Amino acid sequence: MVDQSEVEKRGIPTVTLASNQFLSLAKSTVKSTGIPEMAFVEFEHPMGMIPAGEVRAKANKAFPEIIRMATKWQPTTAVAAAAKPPYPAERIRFKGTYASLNKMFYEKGWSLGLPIIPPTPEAVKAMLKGTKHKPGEVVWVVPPRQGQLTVELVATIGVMAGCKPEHMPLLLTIVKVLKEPDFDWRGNSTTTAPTAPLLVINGPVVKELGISASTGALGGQMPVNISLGYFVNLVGDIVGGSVPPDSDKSTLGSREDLVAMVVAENESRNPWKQSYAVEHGFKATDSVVTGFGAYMGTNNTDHNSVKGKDLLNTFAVGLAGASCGITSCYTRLDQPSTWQNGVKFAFLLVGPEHADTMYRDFPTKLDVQNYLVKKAVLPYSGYSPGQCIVPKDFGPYDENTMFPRFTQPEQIKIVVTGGSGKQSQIWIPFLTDNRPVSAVMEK
Amino acid sequence: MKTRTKFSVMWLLALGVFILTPLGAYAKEAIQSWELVNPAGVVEVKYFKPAPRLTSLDGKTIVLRWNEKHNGDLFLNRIAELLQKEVPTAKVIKLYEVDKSTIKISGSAKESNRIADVIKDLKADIVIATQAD
Repeated sequence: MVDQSEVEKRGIPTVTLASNQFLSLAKSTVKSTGIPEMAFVEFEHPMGMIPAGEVRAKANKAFPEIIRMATKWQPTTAVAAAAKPPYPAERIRFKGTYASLNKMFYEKGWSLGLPIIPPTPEAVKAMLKGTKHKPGEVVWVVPPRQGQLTVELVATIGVMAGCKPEHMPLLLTIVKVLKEPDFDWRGNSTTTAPTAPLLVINGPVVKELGISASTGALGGQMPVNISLGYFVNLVGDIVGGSVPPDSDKSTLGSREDLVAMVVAENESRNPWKQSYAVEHGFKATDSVVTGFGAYMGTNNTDHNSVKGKDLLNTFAVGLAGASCGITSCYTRLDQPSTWQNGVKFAFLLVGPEHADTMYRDFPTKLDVQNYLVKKAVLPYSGYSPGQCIVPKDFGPYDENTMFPRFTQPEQIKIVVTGGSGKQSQIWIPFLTDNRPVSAVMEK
Repeated sequence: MKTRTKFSVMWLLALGVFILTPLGAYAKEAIQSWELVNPAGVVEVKYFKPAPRLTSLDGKTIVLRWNEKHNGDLFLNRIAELLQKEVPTAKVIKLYEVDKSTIKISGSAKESNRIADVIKDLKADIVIATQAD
């Protein structure tokens, strides 16, 4: 839809074909790009995953309306008046109990349905003491609604999520990561897929703020990790407006869409010593946030492998099959994301015991990555039709021929995190996530 | 009353008070007056008018754009056939055949702009595009 908006802005009219299930998202997306309305032709959902004959029939049925919209449709909405300034945020008065306040917030679209801490002006003012940034500074215009997120609103939503003033520099760094084009927040937050942000924290801030990197770090009872993750999704839903069913089209969704995943690297248990951040060019004294939009991950629960190779073989199975149905073969991190080069990196959140086992036989992370690049293979039939483009010089193949998912070791990212136990997790990015994004926290 | 009976009655009374008093003594959640900061933020939109509309497709260049979602190309192929019958003077360009780099979900403002420029360079008079899903 954004593409058609850009075409219209160049003076070329468009007619967009959208299924009835996606029409409301399409219309709201168009509005968010600055064009109040465009010409749409609706057809009965779905278009994808149906036989060619049915597609043809739907095209036949839509054709008269396409002609009509192309030659007769005229916009009716007048251009809207200029908006209010983003700062200061409106103050509202409410009389009621804490429970009724939460109900009001939910009904207004100001919460996710879980309780929030009321953002009183006093609490927001206290929160703003955690940063030198001016409260009126706009740090992100959050798609798809294009709400302007000011520093004041970072503090406001931080309060609601249970964050503290000392979290403000980290919250602002998280926003820097989420808004990067390579993260593709719009795609992540409106897709049918169960995506959610995954944020890895490195550096001194981990200890300073008590961000968990050990037992249960991605679970409950982790107040700092959880409040940071809750902040992320509150921003996305309230300011960004990506709410089901119209803007957030998640077919089923996931609970990580309620509290985003925030975890620290367990740097003291990393047998390869070099943290993710240092490995990627940052200083050990930098506090770094790395993030991407993740499809639902999978876990490795290998309890038996003593040899590193055997453990990596079971990892390879999880890696190959993760996010099945949308993966491509021969992906490259240095090429743009497309349907045939999508899902082109993976994060292994490796539990310390698994890391120790790997390290026994693979003394460098690069050794691990190279091994997994070779081993993470699927049969041709395991790739969705059209997703695996076999090189012309490959030779004969059939549906059982194995093809690699990855081609470059840097596509496989390794972060040691978690506590005792033989458990690790494999997380993979949304189709249009171009690369994991990192930002250094201001001191 | 004998002392023993008196004691029993008093004990029973005390027990009754102990049991019954909490039932009537639940604290009610207090109604408060709140002042709160609206977290929603002001929408930033610079409004544009849609492009001027056509009144006929005769002699026009019609570009068909596919965003790589499954079957979108088949849908547009059929539209191309019907356009060629209905408006034989129109020039129908399947963008997905002339420039495969446009077959994608753009995923960024930079890509959206690039694709729009490709379409403009084709001197399109109108674009018919498929969306999800």
